[in-house]
Amino acid sequence: MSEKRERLRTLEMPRLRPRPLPPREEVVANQSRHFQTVKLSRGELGHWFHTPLDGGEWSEWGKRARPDAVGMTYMAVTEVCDRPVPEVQAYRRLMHSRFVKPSPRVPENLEERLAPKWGGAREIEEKYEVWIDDAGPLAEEALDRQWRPALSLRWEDMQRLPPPLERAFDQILTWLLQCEYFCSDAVGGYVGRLHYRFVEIKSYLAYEIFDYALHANALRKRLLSNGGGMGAQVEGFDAGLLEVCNEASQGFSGEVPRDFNAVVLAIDVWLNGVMLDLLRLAAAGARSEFDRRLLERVMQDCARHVSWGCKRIGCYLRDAPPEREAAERLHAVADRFEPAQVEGHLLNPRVLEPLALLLGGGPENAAAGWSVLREFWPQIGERWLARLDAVGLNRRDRCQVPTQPPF
Amino acid sequence: MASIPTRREAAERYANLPQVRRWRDGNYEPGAWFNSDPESPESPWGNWGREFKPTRRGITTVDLNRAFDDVPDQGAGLVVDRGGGADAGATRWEYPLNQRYEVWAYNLESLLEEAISRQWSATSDLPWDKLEPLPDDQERAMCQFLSFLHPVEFTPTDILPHYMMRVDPSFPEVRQFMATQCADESRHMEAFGKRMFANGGGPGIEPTAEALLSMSADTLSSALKPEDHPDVIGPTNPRATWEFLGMSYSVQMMGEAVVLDFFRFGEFLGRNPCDKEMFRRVLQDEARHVSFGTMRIKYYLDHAPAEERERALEMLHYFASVDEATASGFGLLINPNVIEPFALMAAGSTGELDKGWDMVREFWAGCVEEYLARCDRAGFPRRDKCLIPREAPF
Amino acid sequence: MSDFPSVDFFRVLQRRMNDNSDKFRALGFTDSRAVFAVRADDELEDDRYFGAVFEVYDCTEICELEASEVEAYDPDWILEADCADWREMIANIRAEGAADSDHTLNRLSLLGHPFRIHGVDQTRVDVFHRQQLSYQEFFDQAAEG
Repeated sequence: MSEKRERLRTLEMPRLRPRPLPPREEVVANQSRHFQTVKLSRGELGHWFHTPLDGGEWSEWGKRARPDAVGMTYMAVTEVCDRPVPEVQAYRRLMHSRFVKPSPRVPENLEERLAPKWGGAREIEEKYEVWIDDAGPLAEEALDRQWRPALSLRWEDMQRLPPPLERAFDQILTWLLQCEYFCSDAVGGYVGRLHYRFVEIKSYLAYEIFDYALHANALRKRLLSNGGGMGAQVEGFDAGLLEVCNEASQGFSGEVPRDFNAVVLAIDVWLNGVMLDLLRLAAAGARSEFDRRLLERVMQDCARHVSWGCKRIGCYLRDAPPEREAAERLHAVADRFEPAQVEGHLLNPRVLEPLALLLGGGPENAAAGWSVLREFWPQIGERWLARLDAVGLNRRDRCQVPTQPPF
Repeated sequence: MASIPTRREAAERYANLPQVRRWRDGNYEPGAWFNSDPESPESPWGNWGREFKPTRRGITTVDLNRAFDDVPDQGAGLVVDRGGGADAGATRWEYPLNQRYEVWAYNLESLLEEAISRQWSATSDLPWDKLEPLPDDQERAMCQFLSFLHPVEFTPTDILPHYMMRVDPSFPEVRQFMATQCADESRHMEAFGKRMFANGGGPGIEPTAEALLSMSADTLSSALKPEDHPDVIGPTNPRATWEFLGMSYSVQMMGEAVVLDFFRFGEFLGRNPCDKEMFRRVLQDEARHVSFGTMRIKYYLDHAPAEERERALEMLHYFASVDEATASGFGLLINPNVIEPFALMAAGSTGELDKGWDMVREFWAGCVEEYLARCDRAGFPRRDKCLIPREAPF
Repeated sequence: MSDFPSVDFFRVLQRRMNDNSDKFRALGFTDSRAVFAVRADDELEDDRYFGAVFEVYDCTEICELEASEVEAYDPDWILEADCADWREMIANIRAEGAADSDHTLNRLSLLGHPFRIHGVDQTRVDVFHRQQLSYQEFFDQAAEG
C-alpha cells in the first residue's frame, strides 16, 4: 500500500478540550437577571414593533409579490423589491441578506469585531466575484428541474444486461460517481464563504451540491442492483483539478483570498462539461430505456451546472477590475489542468474502453464503438473552446485539449 | 509546481501514452477492469453479482445495506464509492473522518431515503394563492419572525460541505444525507425570503442586532462570558473547525431542535393555508435533521472505543453547557426579535398580549422537555445539568 | 362515512389512502406504527385505541387495541385526545374539505392539549413530525363524505 496523503484540503478539525465553566447556580442567576430576560418580563414589544414602517429600519412594507406561471419565483419577488440585485457594498455583517437594513444601533467597532473579513461569509463579498446576470431564473431552474427519484425513476423497469455490457455500464457509472463526489467537495467549501447579499447564488450552489448527491445516490443503487457491481476506481480523473482547487482555496484557512472563479471554471465549466459529453455517449450506448433515462436526468443537471459556470465566468470577465487580471488568471488555471485532464478522462482506458464497448454493443464489436468515439472526440474540446469563446475567454491558441483524437 | 507543457509537448505525450498507441494500432482489447475475474482479489474490479429486486419503494439504501451488509468499520481511503475496486498500488487518502463510529447514525439510511423522497419546492409546492391579508400587527410579527429565520436557516449549509469532504467515500450515505440537508436549508431560506415579500409585510429589522448589542455591553452575552468558551462560540458560529460530533450536537441536534419547535409554533400560529403549509413542510425537514443528529450521537457513544467514548462524552457535555447557556439555547429563546413576534402572533392582537405570553411560556417548557428527551435517547442525559431553565424565566 | 370512534372509520381512511397512492407518493414515503388514542369523556364511556401501520404510500394495517395491548403494539407515536376533541377535528375536516388553520394535527398537538403526541422514545415520536404532511393528508380524507 502506498503512503497516505491528504486530498482536497479544508480546515483543521482539532480535538476540543473542555474548559471549566462557572457553576450552574451562577449561570442560572445570570440568566434571570439577563437584560433580555428582564425586558421580556415586562411583556412589552420592542424596537421591531415600534420602528416606523416607512423611513425606519423596516424595509419594503406594503410590497406584495404575486406568483407567476411557475409559482412564487425569485423573479416574482424581485418584481416588487427595491433591491433586485445586490448593488450595495456596505453590508459587513455576516448572515445578513440584502433585504434587511443593517441596524444603525450597532456601532462600527463592534461590527468590525464580530464580522471579520476572514473565516466566514465575508471572504467573497464583491459582486464581480459572485453574482451572475439572471441569478434568480437559474436558481429557479435548478429547483424546478430537480428530480425526485421516487417519481422520476421506475426501478421495476430496470432490465438485465448481458454481463459484458453490464460491466461496461457499471464501469462508466463508477467513473461518474467519483466525479460527482469530487465536484461536490470542490464546490462545497465556498458556500459558506459567499456573502449573504447573494442569497440566490448561495441557494443555487446548495442545490448543485444536492444534485451531485442525488446522482451519486441513484447511480449507486443502479450499480448494486442489476447483477453487476461497483467497478474499478479511475485513477487520475481528478489530475490537475486537485491542485487547482487546493491552490484556489488555500485549505480555506488563513487570511488569504480564495479564487472561487478558478474552481467554477475547473468544476462547472470543464469537469461538468466533460461529464455531460461522456454521459451523452453513455446514454447513446445504454441498452435499456431505464438506463438511458437515468443518464438523461443526470445530463440535464450537468448541463445546468455548465450553464451556471459559463454565466459566472462571463460576468467575472466583464465585471472584474482590470488589476484583477481575470482573463490571465483563468488562462493560467486552465493551462494547469487541461493536459492532466485530457489524460485523466479523455484518454483514460477505464473511461473510454467501457464507452466503446457500450457504443459497439459488446466486446465483439468494439471497433465500431471506437469509431463512434473517434468521430465524437473532437467535439469535446471544441465545445469547451466554444463555451469559453462565448464568455469571452479565447483559448484557441493556447488550449491543450487536442482537436483530433490521438488514437 | 509542475511546469506547464507546451501544446506540442502535450500532443507528443498524449500520442505516446501506451494505451493510445495500442488503440491507434487497432488493439481494442480492454484492460484489467474488464478482463480480470471480477471476484478475484487481484482484480481492480469492485464487487460483482449484486442483484436486488425493486420493492414498491423502488430501490432504497435501507434495503441495499440490509441485503449486502457491507458497511466497514474503517474507510478504505479510496476516491471511489464503497465497494469499488482499485489497483494494488492505488493511493490511499487521509480522510479526517474515516471510522464508521465517527460518522454513522442508527437511522441514517432511512433518513436519507426520506430526505430524497420528501424534497419539495418553495416556488411551486406552497399554495401562494391562498395567502390571505393579515392585520398589520400580525403581518409585522410574522415578517419579523421570518427575518430571523431567513439567514439562520442557511447557516448549516455554510459549514456542512466541509464535513462532507472530510468523510471517507466508503460512507456515501453520510455524505449524501448532509447534501440533502444543504438543499433543505436552502429551500427554507428561500421559502421564508419569498413569504416576507408575498403578503405586504416585507423584511423586518436586523434580527440579530439585539444579540450583537448584548455582546458589546458589559452584560453577559447569554449568561456565560465569551472568554469561558472561545473555542465553541465565535463570530462565525457555528464553525467548520469543530469536531464533527460537536457540530452534530450543536447544529443538528440542539440548534435545529429549537428551530423545529419554532416551526411547529409557526404552523400553530399560521392563519392561512399558505403559512400553515410552509411551516408544516419545513418542520418535516427539520425533524429529519434533528433525528440524524440525535441518532448519530447515540451511534458514536455506543460504538466508540471506551477511552474515546469517555472523552467524547466530556466534550459533548461541555458543548451542551455552552450551547444551552448561550446562542443556540437560552440566547435563542430570549431573542426579543423572535420571542416577541411569537407572543404577538399567539395573542392575535396587541390587546391580548398576556394571553400570548402565557402561550410562549407553555411553548418554552415543551421545547426544553423534548430537548432533554432527545439527550436521554442519545445517551448523554442532561436533566441534572441542563442550563436552559425548564420554565421560561420571564 | 362511519361513526367515530370505530375501526370502520379508520378503515375507510385506510382504503382511501391506498386508493390514492399517487397523491401520497408526491408527499414522500411513510414509515411508522401509530396509535390513535381516544379518551373517554362525556361523549365516550371508555378509552379506545386504534393501531395503524403506515408503509411506503399505504396504510397496511388498522386494528382496535385494548389498553393493555398498546405497549406491545410498539407504536412510534401515539396521538391522543378526548373523544369530543377528535370529533371536533373530524367535523371541521368534513365541513372545510381539509383541516382549517385551527385544526391541523400540529396545531392541535403543539402545546400538549387538546391533543397530545407522545411515545416512549422521542426520536421515534419525531417520525410524526418528519412525515406530518402524509398523516395530515390521511385525516383530511375524512372530508370525502
